[in-house]
Amino acid sequence: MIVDFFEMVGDVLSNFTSILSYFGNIRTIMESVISEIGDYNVIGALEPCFGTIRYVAGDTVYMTLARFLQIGLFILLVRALYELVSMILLQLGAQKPLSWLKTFLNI
Amino acid sequence: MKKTILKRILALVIVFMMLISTPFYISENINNSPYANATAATFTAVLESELFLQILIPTLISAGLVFKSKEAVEKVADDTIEWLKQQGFDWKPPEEPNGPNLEDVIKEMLKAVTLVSASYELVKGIVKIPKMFWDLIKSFVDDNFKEGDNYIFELTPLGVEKSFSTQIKMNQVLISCEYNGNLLQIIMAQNPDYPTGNVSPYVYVNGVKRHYVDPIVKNTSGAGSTNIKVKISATSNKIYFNAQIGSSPAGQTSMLISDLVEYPPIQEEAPIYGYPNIVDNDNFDWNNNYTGSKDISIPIETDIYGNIKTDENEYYLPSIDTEDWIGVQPTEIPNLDPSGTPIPEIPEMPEVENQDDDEQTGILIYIGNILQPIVGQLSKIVEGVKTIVSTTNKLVFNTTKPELDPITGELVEPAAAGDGIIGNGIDTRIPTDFEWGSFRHFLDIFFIFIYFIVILILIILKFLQIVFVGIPNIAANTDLFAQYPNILEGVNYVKNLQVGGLAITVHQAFEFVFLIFFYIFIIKQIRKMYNAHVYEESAENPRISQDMKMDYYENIKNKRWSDNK
Repeated sequence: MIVDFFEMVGDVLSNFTSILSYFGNIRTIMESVISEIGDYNVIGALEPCFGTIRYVAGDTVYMTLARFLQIGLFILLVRALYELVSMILLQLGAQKPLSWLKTFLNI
Repeated sequence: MKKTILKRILALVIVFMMLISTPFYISENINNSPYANATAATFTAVLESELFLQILIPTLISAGLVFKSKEAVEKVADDTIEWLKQQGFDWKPPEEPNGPNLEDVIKEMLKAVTLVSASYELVKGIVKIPKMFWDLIKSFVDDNFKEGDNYIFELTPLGVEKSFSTQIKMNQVLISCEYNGNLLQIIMAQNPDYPTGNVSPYVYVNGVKRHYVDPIVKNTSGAGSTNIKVKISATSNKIYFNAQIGSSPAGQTSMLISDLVEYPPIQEEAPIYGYPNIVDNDNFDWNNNYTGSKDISIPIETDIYGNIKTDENEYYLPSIDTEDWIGVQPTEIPNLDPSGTPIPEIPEMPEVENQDDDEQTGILIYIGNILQPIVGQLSKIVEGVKTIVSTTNKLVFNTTKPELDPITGELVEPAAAGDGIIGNGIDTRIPTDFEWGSFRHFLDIFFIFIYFIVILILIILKFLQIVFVGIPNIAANTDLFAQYPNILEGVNYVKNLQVGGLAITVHQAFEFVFLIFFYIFIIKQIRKMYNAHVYEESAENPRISQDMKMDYYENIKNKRWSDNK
């Protein structure tokens, strides 16, 4: 039994290189996803549904909803950015100058 | 507390009602009942039902016919139905005198249609073709069609009277002419029904016997003294075959026994093609490749809720049309898929058209237009990061692309830097006779995490691009109604209905009411946000927030308690 276990460990170690190479494959796939994400035609997929909603509900209702969605997103974006900036500024303000150096040197 | 429970129950009931009123459950609504509730219909009504027609046509095709026009399909189907009627309701094959008759077999075939459906989009009826019916149809096809091109003619006797006298002989060509590249002939030939005695003038097209001209001439020897006149004439759209045959009894100049037969013009292309090795092949047989028996699957018509439609005799109504069988080869019939799985039609991605700049007004569109290049720039940055990373990889781990010799295609060894022997014969070359571990893949794990974050950022940017630029530019269309034109008509009708007593349409009224409720909703949201904001502000100072609490006595109590403390 014990011998079997060590054999298993030995097998894993001997295949270690090939196991690691799988990560390389995943990395290549993700690189291709990054390069193709901009080419994907989302609007083309949405067009039949949204176009029909626009046809049935009318331009006024559709554009009102679209604009409010945009306003909502814009507010969210600005708020998130504001919080991010204020977080950074507050953190900087709370820290003493060169405190990072002290931390680094552990003194 | 009670109110909350009531609200929850009410909400659940509403959700439940919404669920059952939506067509999510349609696919379960189709019962795979083996028998239709067909009422007792007459044999003629059964033969004229749409279901029988749509079963008959693929059966004819499987017997070796390929139709090239809708008229050809309809003509052959009508002829077959007429022929079946002539056979009679009680017809039985000679080898099975005690078996079911023709009427029972066909009625049972139509009733025993099994419904199959993998989704509510498509319901298929599986028809088992009985052996007796198949044999009948095959014999009809074999008798009336030959391999290769077959022509069809409408025969309408016109009854023109003429008299003529001549001597005729057996197999004598009475007249021969060419029309549109086709050889038309009238030839005296033996009637196959009366092989011993009677001779008739037959119409031949391109050497193939098509139809004999009534009535049959009584002539025992096949040759003799008979009065006859034949004529082929053509107008702009019809061909006329005229054959008059008579004897000259004593005291009479002639005896009328002739018809004028009217044919439609012969088409350039033969409308029916007899498939080789199937037509006139008595040993031909077929089975469905999926089921192993003579099964034909035809789509059954359903309404938009998935309910199956039937005709007045309660037979299922096929959703396939006669035109759909044009050009279908006999070899395709055994491959008809009996499962109800629809073949998805993937539409092509339409290109997003850029609207004119004039329409892109307003601050939000302006922001959108600014965001678009930012998205582009960020994508470029990502590309740049990728390039830097790969370059660094090359520098650090020396994973350059292998260079191949353009002529031999073999790997080119990098130029050796000297012989690697230094000093007093010390070999500094790296040994290559064993494998070194490829540990550079360790770094890939970290790249996976980095790329994951980059992909998330790109998805967010894509989403922003869609919301700020894409959605407002989508033009109104009716793509979703393409399959349901009746619903589109209904929508248009309701939209343009006039609201009683007012000069506005239902659609305008809907817009008005919708916007009022929508703005009420928005105002309420803003009010909620304001309240939350006020509360947050005041929460910074506990003293003030205590004063602002609604429960005054609670505050007093707390204050006293804190003062005593």
